[in-house]
Amino acid sequence: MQIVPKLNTLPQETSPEELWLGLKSGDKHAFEQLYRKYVKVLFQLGTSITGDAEFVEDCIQELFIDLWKYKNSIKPTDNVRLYLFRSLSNRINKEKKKAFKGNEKQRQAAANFPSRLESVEVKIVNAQREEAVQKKLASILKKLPIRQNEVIQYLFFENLSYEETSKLMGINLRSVYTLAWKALSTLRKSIISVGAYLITLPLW
Amino acid sequence: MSKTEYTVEDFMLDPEFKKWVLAPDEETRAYWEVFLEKHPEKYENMKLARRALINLSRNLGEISESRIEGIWAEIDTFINEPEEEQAERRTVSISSESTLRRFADRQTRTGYKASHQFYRVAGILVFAFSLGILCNFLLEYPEEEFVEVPLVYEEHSVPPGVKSTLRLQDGSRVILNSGSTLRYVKNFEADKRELFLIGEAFFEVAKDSLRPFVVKTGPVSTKALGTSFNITAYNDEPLDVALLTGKVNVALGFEKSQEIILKPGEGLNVSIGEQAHSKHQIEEEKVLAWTRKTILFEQTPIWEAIRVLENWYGVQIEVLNRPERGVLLSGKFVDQTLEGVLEGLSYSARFRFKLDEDRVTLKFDMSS
Repeated sequence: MQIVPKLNTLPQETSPEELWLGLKSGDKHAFEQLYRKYVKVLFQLGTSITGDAEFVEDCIQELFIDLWKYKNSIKPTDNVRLYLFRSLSNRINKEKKKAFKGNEKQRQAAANFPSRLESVEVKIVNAQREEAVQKKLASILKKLPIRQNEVIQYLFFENLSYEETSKLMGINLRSVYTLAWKALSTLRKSIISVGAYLITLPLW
Repeated sequence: MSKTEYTVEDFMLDPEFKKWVLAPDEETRAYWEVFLEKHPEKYENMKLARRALINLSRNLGEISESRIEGIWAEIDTFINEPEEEQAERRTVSISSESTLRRFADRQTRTGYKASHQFYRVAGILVFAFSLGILCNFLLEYPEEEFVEVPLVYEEHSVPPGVKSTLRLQDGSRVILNSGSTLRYVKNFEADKRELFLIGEAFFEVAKDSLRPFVVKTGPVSTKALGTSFNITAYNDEPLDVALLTGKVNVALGFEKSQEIILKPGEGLNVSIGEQAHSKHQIEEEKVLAWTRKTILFEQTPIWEAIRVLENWYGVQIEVLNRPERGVLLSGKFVDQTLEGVLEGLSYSARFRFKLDEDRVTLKFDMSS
């Protein structure tokens, strides 16, 4: 394996949109910088949606190879992050459809990669978070159907607007809302059971 | 939907509610306090929505540095291959597990020997039987009962030399000038009519107060309810919005975003590169000339005139001896041939021209 210089440590910061133009014109360094800039967030998003690290790594690799292959015909974009999210989402959904319901098995089989719990960003001092509820919600989120899981990732964790989410997932606004509503419905029902557990605990 | 009918889920999906819970400011705080006072019956729902929101969590996977390098090495090997090999080579999976899986697949495939007719028949029967069970199972439990409605875009492109009139589904009329592209969601979305324009178009918007009509041209959005206006937004040129009737709201999505309201007879010129804009009075005749087969130059800089003519007639224009001071052109041409237009301009601007199919050469007199 050849040793690759780390370009992300270079002092000057080129904007993603400029790197994108670089890629279009066949600049390998720009391409590598794009990869290094986005591989972590793509991995996070992919594993959050599918829970399968190896599958996501394959998808990311193929995504970037395709980007290079079709660099002459990729469209200019003013939001590289959204473009890459969209490509990854398409790829995951396509592959998963092919894999035909095998996802449940795969998800459980490949759950052992390092991960940490991340909650929705709160900008108030005293949020009174409950660890049991956080864990419960994260585990339920993981078990939701992929599209429902996806919509929660975009709206609540990636802080995209409804419009951006609709464009990213390629469905209309009403579908985004309905999907999110269903996902939240499952999620909030799970809280009630945690709540009951917490209340009964002091009685012991 | 009124907020008084909100379920827990609706509260969580309301951007204003989300803001109040996660990053409140005075305005949202005041709003929801008043709301709660008026609708105390919503207290339980709001409380649960808040609890679910602040605790909403996900397991975030961390990719190791060595995997980042590993994947890059694979990509790098690929992109350094000569182009023709790239086309043939299939992407190779990098994970050890998939390699093992593939190996196992191959093993079972080579291990299969068609030794006996009986096993074949039995196999087919078992397969058919399990397929039946599988179908039954799938039909009983559909994975998702609601249908996601995909976004379908309509795109109209008009090549240089051609103009086109469109009637949109909502009754609005659009005249697209040469070399322009208009893109929009088919039949529009439920809450707005959004169009993306490159080039020039004249809009006569049908009234629909529930669905604002928004034309997006890069960072600039022009919003109208029921009016007629013209937009010029060719790539790399200042953008111009001219309002004939009604009222429009132009939002400039620059670093410091701004909204400008235009009244009838007003025009707005926006320089996207410099993020600057200025209002001016428009002349209807001049703005709409292009929709009436009329080319109108009034002290028009030569670069703009060339763009207009190239687009209008679908030709390439080359300029020789371009005067350093720049040239302003004037003239009005109704339904004229390119030759007629050039002849008219050539007297005052003092150039000679040569037409060669779709190539035009203008040569200015050195003495001028």
